[in-house]
Amino acid sequence: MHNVLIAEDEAHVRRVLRMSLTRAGFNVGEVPDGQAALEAIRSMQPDILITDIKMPRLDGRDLCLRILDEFPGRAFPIVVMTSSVEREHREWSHNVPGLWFLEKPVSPRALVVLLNEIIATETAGL
Amino acid sequence: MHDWKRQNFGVWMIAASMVVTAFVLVIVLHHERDLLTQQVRAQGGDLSRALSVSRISPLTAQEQGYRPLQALTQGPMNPDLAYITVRDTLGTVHHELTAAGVLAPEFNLPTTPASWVGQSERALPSDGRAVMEFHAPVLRQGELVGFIQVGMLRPGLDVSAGKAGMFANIAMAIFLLTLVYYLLIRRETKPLSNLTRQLELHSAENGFQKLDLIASGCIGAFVQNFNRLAEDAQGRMRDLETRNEDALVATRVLAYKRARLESVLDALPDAVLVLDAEGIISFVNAKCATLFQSSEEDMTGTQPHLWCKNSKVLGFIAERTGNVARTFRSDTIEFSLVDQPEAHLRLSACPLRAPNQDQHILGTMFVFRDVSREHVAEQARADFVAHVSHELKAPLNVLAMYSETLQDANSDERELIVDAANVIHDEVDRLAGLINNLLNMTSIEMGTVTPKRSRVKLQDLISDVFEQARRGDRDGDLTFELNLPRDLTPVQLDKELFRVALNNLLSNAVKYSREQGIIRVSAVETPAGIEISVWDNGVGISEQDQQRIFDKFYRSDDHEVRARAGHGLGLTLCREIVRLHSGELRVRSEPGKYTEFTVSLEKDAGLLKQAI
Repeated sequence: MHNVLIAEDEAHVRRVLRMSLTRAGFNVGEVPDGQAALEAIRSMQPDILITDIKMPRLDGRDLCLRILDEFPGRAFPIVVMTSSVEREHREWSHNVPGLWFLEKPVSPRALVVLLNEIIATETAGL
Repeated sequence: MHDWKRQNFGVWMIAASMVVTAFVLVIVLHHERDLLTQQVRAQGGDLSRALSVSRISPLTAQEQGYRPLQALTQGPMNPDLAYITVRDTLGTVHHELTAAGVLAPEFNLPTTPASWVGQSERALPSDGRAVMEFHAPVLRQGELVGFIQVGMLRPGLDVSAGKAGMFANIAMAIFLLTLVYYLLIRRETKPLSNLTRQLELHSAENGFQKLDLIASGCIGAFVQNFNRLAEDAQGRMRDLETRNEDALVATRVLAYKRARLESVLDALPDAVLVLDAEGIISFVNAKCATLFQSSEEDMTGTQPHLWCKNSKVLGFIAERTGNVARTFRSDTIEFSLVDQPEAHLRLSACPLRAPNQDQHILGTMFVFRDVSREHVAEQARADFVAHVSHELKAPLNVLAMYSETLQDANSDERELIVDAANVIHDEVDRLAGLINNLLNMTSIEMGTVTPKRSRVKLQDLISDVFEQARRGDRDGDLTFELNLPRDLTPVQLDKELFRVALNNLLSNAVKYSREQGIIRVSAVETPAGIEISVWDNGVGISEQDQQRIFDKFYRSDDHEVRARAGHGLGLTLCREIVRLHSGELRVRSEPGKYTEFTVSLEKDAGLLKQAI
C-alpha cells in the first residue's frame, strides 16, 4: 500500500482526490498548504507527494524547492497539479528531479493512471 | 541776435552813406579844382599873351611902371595870380607884380625861339606852393626885347565854409536816399522776420501748419510753395500716423492672439514640446516645463537631451527630427518616469509642415499625455479578467472532478453518490452566485443600474433574508437571533438589490462562523436613519484585513478564511449596493471573537427620493 500525501487548499478537491485515491487502493493523507506538507514530510516521508501550486503559507513551487533543499536524497516523486497559466512559468522545475506535472482540471482517473505509471517506472528504474 | 544784426545793419547803412557822401564830396571838389585849374591855365596863358602883345614902351628905367601891369593893380587882383614879371632878354626884372608875400622865382631864359612861348610847373621859393608859369616874349618891331613871366597858383581843393551848405545838402540827399533804401529794404524783409517768427513757433508746436502771411513777389511765392509743402507734409504725417496706429493695433491684436494661443497651449492637460527642423527646442508649454522640471525660458533654444535622460524617449525624438522626420514609423511610445514608476506617459509625434508646402518640414511637435489612469485601468481590467477566470475555474474544477467521480461510482456506493451530488449542487450554486455577483457589480459600476425604488417595509425584507439564511445552514449547529422593532419607517429601496446585499452579509456570517456559533440580525431606527446590523461570533477579521475586505477579489490570507470557499466579491457588491442607496457599510471586528457589519441608511435621502 503506497502512502500518498495530498497538499491542496481547496477542501472539495482534497476530498474528491482522497475518495478516488482511496478507492484506487492508496493510503491518503491530506494537508491544506505547503507548510503543513513540509511538516508532514518531516515526520514521515510519503511514497508520492501530490501538490497544488497555489496554496497559502507555502506554495507548491516553494515547497518543491524546500524539499530539494531539506531532503537531498529524497526517494519520493512529486506530482504537481498546475493550471495552463502556470505552465509557462515552469523554469524552476528543471532543477528538480522526480517531478511530474498534471494539468487542471485534474481528472481523478488520470491521476490514478499517472500514479500507477510512476510506481511502475520507479520500480523498473530502481 | 536778431536785433543786434538789425542795429548793425542800420549802422552799416549810415556808415555806407557817409562813405558815399565823402566820396561824392571828394569827387566834386576834385572836379571843381580841375575846372579851376583849366580856368587858371587859360587865364594865365591869355594874360601872358595879352601882355606880350600889348604895346610896351621901351624898357627904360625911367618908365614908371608897366601900364598893363598898372592896369592890373588898379583893379582887384586875381587871387590865383601869384606873380607877373617883365624881364629883358638877360632876365633882369624890369617890372614886377606879385601877390602878397610872394617872390617870383627865377626865370629860365628860353634858348630857342620855339620855346619863347611856353608853360612850366614851378614852385614858389618862399613857401613851395605849386605854380603854373606861363612865359611869352615881348617883341618890338619883331624883335625880342624881353619876356613876360606869369605865375598862376595851382588851385587846391577848396574846402571852404561857403561850400558847407552845398556839402550839407549833398550829404543830406545821400543820407535821405540811404534812409529811403533802408526803409524799403526793411519793408521788404519785414515779412521774412514774420515768417521766421512763425516758423520758430511752429517747430515748437510740432506741427506743420501753414504760414499765415500775405506777401507779394518772391516772398509771396515762397509762402505759397511753403504752404503747399506744409499741406503735403501734413497729409503724409497723417498717413504715417494712421499707418502707425494700424500697425500698433495689428501688433496688439497679434500679441493678444499669441497670448491667447499660449494660454490655450498652457491650459492643455498634455505637455507639448516643439522642435525645429534642426532638433532645437522652439516651444514648450507650461506642462512640459513642469514635466522636465525646468522653465520655458530655460528650455527654449536648447537641445532635448539636456532635459530628458530617458534613452527611449530621446531615441524616439531623434528618429523624428531633421531630415528623418519625413518618414515616420510608429507614432507613439509609452514610458514611465524614472522617479515615479507609477506615472505612465504616452508620447506621440506629429510633423509640422509649412502651410501650402507639404514637403517642407518646419519641425516636429511632441505631445506627452499622462495615461497613468488608463494604464491603471488596463491593469485593473487585466487583473479582473485574470481573477474572474481563476474564480470561475475553481468551481468548474470541482464540478469536473466530482462528475467524473459520479461516473465511476458503483451503484452501491450510495454515500459517495450522495456526497458527490451535494458537492456538485453546492458548486453550481457557488458558480451561479459568483456570476450574479459579477454581473451586478459590473452593472452598478458602469452605472447601467438604476435602482428600482419602491416603498419597502424593511422588517419584512430582513426577516425574509434571515429565514433564508437559517434554512441554508445545513449543519444546524448555529443559533440565529432576529431583533427587529415592530415598526420601521418604510424606505425607498431597490428591493432585489438590497436583498442581495443582506444575503451576502448573512451568508458571510454563516460561512465564517465557528462551531456552535451565534448569528444576530437587528435593526434600529434613529431620528436620522435606520441601522441594520449583522453580528456573528465567528472567525473575525484582522485590522489590516478590515482595510481591504471591500476590495474586489480580496480574500484574506488567514488560513481560517482560505479554508472556506469564496471569491472575494461579496462585500464589494454589498458596499456598492449600499452606496447606491446613499447609505454606508461599516465593519467592526476582533479576530477570534466577533464580527459586526452595520448598514446605515439615511431616512431623509430615502424620503427625498420618495418625494421625487
